[in-house]
Amino acid sequence: MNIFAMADLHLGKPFGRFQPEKNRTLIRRARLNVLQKLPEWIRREEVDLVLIAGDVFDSPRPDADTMTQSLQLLGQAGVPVLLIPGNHDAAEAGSVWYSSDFQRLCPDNLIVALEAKPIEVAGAVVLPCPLRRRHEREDLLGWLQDQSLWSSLPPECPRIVLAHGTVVNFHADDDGAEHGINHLDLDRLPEAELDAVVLGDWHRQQQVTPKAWYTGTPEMTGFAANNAQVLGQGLLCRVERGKQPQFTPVPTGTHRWEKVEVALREEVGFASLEEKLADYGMNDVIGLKLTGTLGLEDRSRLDQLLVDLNNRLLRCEVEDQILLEPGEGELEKLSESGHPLVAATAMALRETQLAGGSESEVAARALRLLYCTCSQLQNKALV
Amino acid sequence: MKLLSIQLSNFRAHLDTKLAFDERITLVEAANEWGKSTLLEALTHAFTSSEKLGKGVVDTFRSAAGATGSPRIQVEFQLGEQTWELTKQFNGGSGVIELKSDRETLTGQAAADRLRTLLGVEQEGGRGWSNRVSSIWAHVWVRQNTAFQGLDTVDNLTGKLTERLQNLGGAGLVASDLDQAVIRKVEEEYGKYYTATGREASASPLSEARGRHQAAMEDAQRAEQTLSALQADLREFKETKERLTHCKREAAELMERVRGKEEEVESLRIAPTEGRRLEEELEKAKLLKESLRQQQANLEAKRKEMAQLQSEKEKLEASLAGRREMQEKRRAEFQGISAENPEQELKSVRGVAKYFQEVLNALKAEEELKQVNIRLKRVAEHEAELRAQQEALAKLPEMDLTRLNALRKAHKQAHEARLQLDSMAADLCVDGADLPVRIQEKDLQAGETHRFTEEVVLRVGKGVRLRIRPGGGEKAMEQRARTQELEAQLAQMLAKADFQTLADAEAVYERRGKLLGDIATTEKLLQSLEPEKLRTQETKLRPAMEAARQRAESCRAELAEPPPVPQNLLEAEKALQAADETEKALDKKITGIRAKRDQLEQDLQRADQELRVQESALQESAQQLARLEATVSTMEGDAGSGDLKTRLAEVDRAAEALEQKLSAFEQKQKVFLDTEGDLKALKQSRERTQDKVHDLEKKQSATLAHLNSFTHQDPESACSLARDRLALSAKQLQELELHAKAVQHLKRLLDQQKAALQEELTQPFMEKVRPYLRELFGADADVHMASLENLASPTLQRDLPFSFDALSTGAREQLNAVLRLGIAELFQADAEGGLPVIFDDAFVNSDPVRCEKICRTLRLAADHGLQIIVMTCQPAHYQLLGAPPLQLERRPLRTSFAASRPPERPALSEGADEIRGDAVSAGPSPAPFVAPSAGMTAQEEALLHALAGKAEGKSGNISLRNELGWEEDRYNAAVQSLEDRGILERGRGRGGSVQLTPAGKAGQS
Repeated sequence: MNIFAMADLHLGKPFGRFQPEKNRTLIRRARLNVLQKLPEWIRREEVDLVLIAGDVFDSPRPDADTMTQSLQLLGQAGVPVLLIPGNHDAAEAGSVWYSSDFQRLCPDNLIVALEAKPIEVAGAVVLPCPLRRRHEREDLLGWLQDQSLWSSLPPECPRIVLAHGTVVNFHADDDGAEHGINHLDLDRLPEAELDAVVLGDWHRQQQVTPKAWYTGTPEMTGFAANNAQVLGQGLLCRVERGKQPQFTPVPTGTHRWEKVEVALREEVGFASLEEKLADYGMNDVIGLKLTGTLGLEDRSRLDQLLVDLNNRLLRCEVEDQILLEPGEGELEKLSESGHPLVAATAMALRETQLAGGSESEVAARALRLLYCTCSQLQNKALV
Repeated sequence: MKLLSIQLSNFRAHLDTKLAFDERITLVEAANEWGKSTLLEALTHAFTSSEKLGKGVVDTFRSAAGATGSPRIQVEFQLGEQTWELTKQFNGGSGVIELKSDRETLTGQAAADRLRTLLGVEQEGGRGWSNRVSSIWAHVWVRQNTAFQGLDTVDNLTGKLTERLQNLGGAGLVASDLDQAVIRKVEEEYGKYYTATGREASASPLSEARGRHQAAMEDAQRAEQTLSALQADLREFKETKERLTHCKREAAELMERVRGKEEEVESLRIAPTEGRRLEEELEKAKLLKESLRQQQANLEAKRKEMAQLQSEKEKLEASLAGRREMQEKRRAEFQGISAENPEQELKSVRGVAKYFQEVLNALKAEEELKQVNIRLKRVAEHEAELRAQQEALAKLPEMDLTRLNALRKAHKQAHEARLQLDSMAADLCVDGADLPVRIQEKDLQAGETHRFTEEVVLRVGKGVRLRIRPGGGEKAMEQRARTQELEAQLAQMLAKADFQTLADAEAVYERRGKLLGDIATTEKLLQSLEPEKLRTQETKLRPAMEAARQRAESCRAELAEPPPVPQNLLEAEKALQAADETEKALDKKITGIRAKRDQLEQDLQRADQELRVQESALQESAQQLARLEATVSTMEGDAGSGDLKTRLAEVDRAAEALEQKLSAFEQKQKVFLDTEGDLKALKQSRERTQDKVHDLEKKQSATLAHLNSFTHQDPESACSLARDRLALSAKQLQELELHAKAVQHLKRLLDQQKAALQEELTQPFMEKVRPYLRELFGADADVHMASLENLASPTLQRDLPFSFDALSTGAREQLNAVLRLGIAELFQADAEGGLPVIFDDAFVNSDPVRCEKICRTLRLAADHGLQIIVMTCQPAHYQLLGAPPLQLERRPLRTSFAASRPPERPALSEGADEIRGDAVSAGPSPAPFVAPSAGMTAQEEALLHALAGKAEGKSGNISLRNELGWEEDRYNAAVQSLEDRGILERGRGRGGSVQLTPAGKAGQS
């Protein structure tokens, strides 16, 4: 049978750093878009069952819009959808899972596993490990160590463990990993008895064992370390009872999240920067780290470029560590032009900047300002 | 330019005044209101006013002294090597100008044009040139009462100065166009963030960002609060849940325990009748025991009573026995006493006593007899003695006193005669002799004396014989004879009486006397012994004694036990005494015995009676005892076959057994009750726990309800969003702050640089100014101004910086003078030899000492080539100038001048309009001077002038008054006076304001 598995949708995540508001709306909407596209993938891949391994919602109490829209979209999947609460949307008291609205709106094909007990669905047995609270200290897979449990299961149905947490002794560089809590000890499971383990919590898709995979998030929520994953993915899983499962990644993401680090130098740096960034567009989120030095002119250009990027990209998060180093002749140009006041002021600012200390940064900024002002005035004069 | 002379005709007070100026320093002396200022005014008009001034103005020039000619000013001045004579005659449209040198004479427009050229004023139209000249002259021609005000910087003085300084110093531009533009831009940007005083502007992007940040912060705070409320709810829910679980478990346990307890209670339950039965039995046993005890107690009481009676009886018996014994004793005693016989004894004692009495009598008689016999013996002795004495007397010769006296007389005579004979005797004394000396044949030894009364033979040795006769001769013989006679008589008489010597006679006589005395004594003794009586007694006593002896013998014989015979009287007396005493004692004894016997007898009788009573009591007691014994034995008999004690013991044992049973029962009952109580407590506890469970359930559902209220609120997301927004706003704020700081920094730096450049620019000006400044204020003084624009308010630097406003009016006018000299010097080149600097009473606020310094300063200016003209009413202050004072002589005109003026002065405004339209600057800019109107006090003029310098001729009262440096009264009086004249009006506003009326404005032109 074919199972489409995913996790960590984080529906309703606010993305407060996205500005202006329309960008924030876009990035928020992207998560729902995944659900919207779900029927298409189901059709295409002939999926029998959809499993979501936790963190469907970003919080245990998503707003009504998010909840209602997601439930509608899930209802349109056409196949059973089974999900478990994760640490973000733990089935704690007052959480969405127990709300009357949820129960009223919950579509027939949606199964929310709030308890750790086997569920037979679409010819498979799902062994869900829901999180009843945000931080669970006991092994979430503990209940699966009971041999009698397995013997009680129908022998012909494939058995899929659905869990959300951190696999013990599995070190992956994932930013979202929280160690010591919500841990999953795969080694203690009777491997022969189960056919697949679908895991959530780590946003990057990765294989843990031949049978166990982290599905990864279908739509990125942040930068992955070392850009290990820049686009969201789902996981197609073919399982048969007693056979080795086959996992196939399914690209699902729309928004690229990528870190770009550029060390700028006066001569070549700026051009390479422009070149590097040329490819990114309106769906992309860039974490731009800038180091190195720039002259006054290039700095002005960079400022302009940053403004442009900000307008062009969904979000451009800049870590600006660039040092201002007026190029040869730049200062002289300011001072030699028969403008005694500007010249003297520029020299004084440069001195202050070079002297270091608390005023240095201010002086650098003032120098940029002076340069910009002069340029603008001169350009205007030229015009 | 140097002024050489001025001549005024029909000009105000001056009908015809001519004054020649010194090339260096001129001192013009004139009293107030003598037209000094008019001179200055006239000079101004000469150089700057059109000769075709309006008639109205010209009318004000006209001399009021009645002169009819047109007002005329003629000024002679030197420019370079050339001397010029400028003449202006004012007569409305037909006014005349003439400019004359030794080479040419110009009139009309040509003259005016040349004049402008000469003065170095570009030809820019009629109005402009005069302004340019006047504005410089306004600073070098100093009018009274304006000297202390800040220098006017209107009329582009600064620009001209800058230009001049740039020309002079060759310094570059202060600021290029770009510089200026940059400054403008930066100031514009700065203005967005900060106010002019450097405070943050209220509506700056910065404050907006701050506001946004603040709002974000508040949002975040709210979101956090909501989140923490949610979390608290969750915590509480969790806790409540845990507690509920715990409570439920507890409740279940309690339920179990209650069940157990209930069973226990059932098992412990006993029939309550058993207890009652036991209690009844016990009660019975107790009653029986009680009655038995009562019986026993009764018996015991009786027995006790019996014992008591027995003991009493015994006591009684004992007492009776004692009494009987006593009675026997008493009886025996009585019998003893009765048996005693003291009378017999008494009798015998009396016999003894009688016997002893008789013995005593006998003995006494015997004693008496003995005594009598002794006396009789003595009588016999005395009689014998008397006989002896009488015999002795009889043997003695007769000798009585007469005879003796005769003998004594003869002896005495013989003796006296002898003594007399001896008195006639001589003495022979041998002192020493070798030869034996003999007298009357007797040897005389050496040292021997030999008395002699008759003739003696003395022999010495063998051969010598001497006869010696004593003295007296016959008489001695007679004497001798007589002595011998007498002695013979005596011897005779003695012999006759048979005595040898007188001493014998004397002894006999004495003996006789003695014997006679003794005889008498003896006779007396004899007589006292009464011998006859004694003899009678003796005869009587003897038989009495014998009789007594016989009686004693007879008494003795009668005695049973004859006592020893007393040997003497003493013994007899003692024995008698003893017998008497014995008798007395016996008597007493007999009396005592008798009394005792009587007593005993009575006692006996009484005791007998008592005995009888006791005996009967005893009898009674015995009877009682017998009765009791009978009772007791009856009682003992009643007690039944078993002993009472035994029965009691039995009952006791039974009761004890019952009690044990009962106590066991009670114990059981207690355990039962306790268990029942435990059950009750457990039930209560269970109920409480159930209540608690209930409460907790309620609480849990309440918490859950509260928790549910958060559903769809999504506090987590809200919080995350708020945090992100806060971080964003913080970043933006930080960016903006950096930008604002940069702008501020840039602005400050630009200002600094500008100031530095300005300072560089003003350097030549300062160099001109400094020598004067130091002359006036001392070597350490300096003056600062941020730029030439601050010319009106420079800072005087001495020990400390003093802002212009802080300076005294004196210091201000002096500082101004210094600056004016500097300006004059700067423009010197333009005006070929410099402008004449005129001070019209410009140092009225300076003290004489200061005036000396001013004089030196002015002389320094003259040395620098400036022409100095000082007009004063106090020439004494300016002696140091070294210039002789020129007297400005003219008739005082005040009265007539004033009289000719109408008080309302409509002509003034009229005329002023003409002036404005014609020549001098319009608008609020001040005139180079203010025409002194007649009747105005100096204060009014000053006030007017000051006001004219303000925009639209308007000023606040306080600032204006401060500017003038006046007290309120003085200021108010001037304002009032000017208001009265219609020159100014009061305006509103804080502290009030004053404003020139249109008429006033016109008048100021």
